[in-house]
Amino acid sequence: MNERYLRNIGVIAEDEQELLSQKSVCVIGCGGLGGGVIEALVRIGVGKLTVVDSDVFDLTNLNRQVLSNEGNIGKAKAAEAASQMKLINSNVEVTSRGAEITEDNCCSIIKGHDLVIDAVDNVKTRFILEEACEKENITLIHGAIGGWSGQVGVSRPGDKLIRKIYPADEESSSVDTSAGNPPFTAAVVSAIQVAEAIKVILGKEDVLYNKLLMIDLSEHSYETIEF
Amino acid sequence: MKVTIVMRGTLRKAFGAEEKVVEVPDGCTVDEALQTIGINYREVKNFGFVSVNNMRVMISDPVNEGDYIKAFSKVSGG
Repeated sequence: MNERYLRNIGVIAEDEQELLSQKSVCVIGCGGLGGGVIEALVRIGVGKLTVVDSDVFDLTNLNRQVLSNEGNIGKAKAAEAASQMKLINSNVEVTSRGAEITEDNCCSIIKGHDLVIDAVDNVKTRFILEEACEKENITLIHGAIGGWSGQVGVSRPGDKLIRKIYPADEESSSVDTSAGNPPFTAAVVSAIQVAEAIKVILGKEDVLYNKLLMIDLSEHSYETIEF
Repeated sequence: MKVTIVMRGTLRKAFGAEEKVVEVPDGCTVDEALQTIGINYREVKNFGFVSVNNMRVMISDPVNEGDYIKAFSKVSGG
C-alpha cells in the first residue's frame, strides 16, 4: 500500500484503492468546478485523467479557480492543469486537451474513459456531452454553479438528466455570470461531484442517479429532486 | 384547493423567500398556480424548472390539493 493513500483508507478499502488506480476519468472544463475536481481526483489516486478546456486563464478566474494564479494568466487551462497535477501526484497520468467540445469531437475525446465529469459553464456543451456519453455508454457526473446555488446529478446512459433539467430550446453557449461566482460554491459542488464519481467508480450505493441535489448555501438548503 | 409555493435560488430574491399558500381551482396547472402569485415563467430570465413534492414535473402538469411546489432558478455556470 502506497503510504500517500493511507488517509483514504476507511473511506476506501485497499482493494478499492487499487481499483481506482486502474480507472480513467475525463474532466470537461478546467475552471471553477474542473479545478477542484481535477485536484481531488489526482490526490485520491485515480489512474488516468484527461482534462479538457480550450480557454486560457484571465484575471476574473483568480477569485475561485484553484488552478489559476497570478503567474499563469493568459496560459492554457488544460495544459496548466496537467503540469500542476504532476507536482501533486506523479503516479497519475494526466493528459491535457486544449479543445473546445463540439458535436464532431466529443465522442472521440471521451471514448475509452470510465467516467466523464461535466465541469463546463454553458448548457449547449452539456447537451453535447450527455449525448456523447450516451453513445459511448459512459456515465456523466453533472455539476453547475451560480451565485450561492449549485447542483449535482448523475446521468447514466439513457437517463437524459441534462435534457430534463434544462429547456430543450436552451442552445446558448453563452456564460451566465449575473448571479456571481464565488469560490465557496465551486468548492462545495466540485467536492460533491468527486464524491459521486468515486461512488460510481467503486460501485457504491446512494449515488445521485437520475436525481439532482440542489444546494443553496445562502440558506443552508440541500434537497434532492427526483426525475 | 390549496397548494404551497416556494422559490429557490435567485428566484427567492426576485419573488420572496417565504412559502406562499394559495387557493387554486381544481385541475389547475403548475403554470397557472405560479401565475396566482404573479409569476409568469416565460418572462423570468433565470427560471429553471419546477418540482412538486420533490419530483421534477413539467410546468403544464396539473397540481393536487396540498401539493408543495418549488420553482428553481437556472444554474448553469462552471
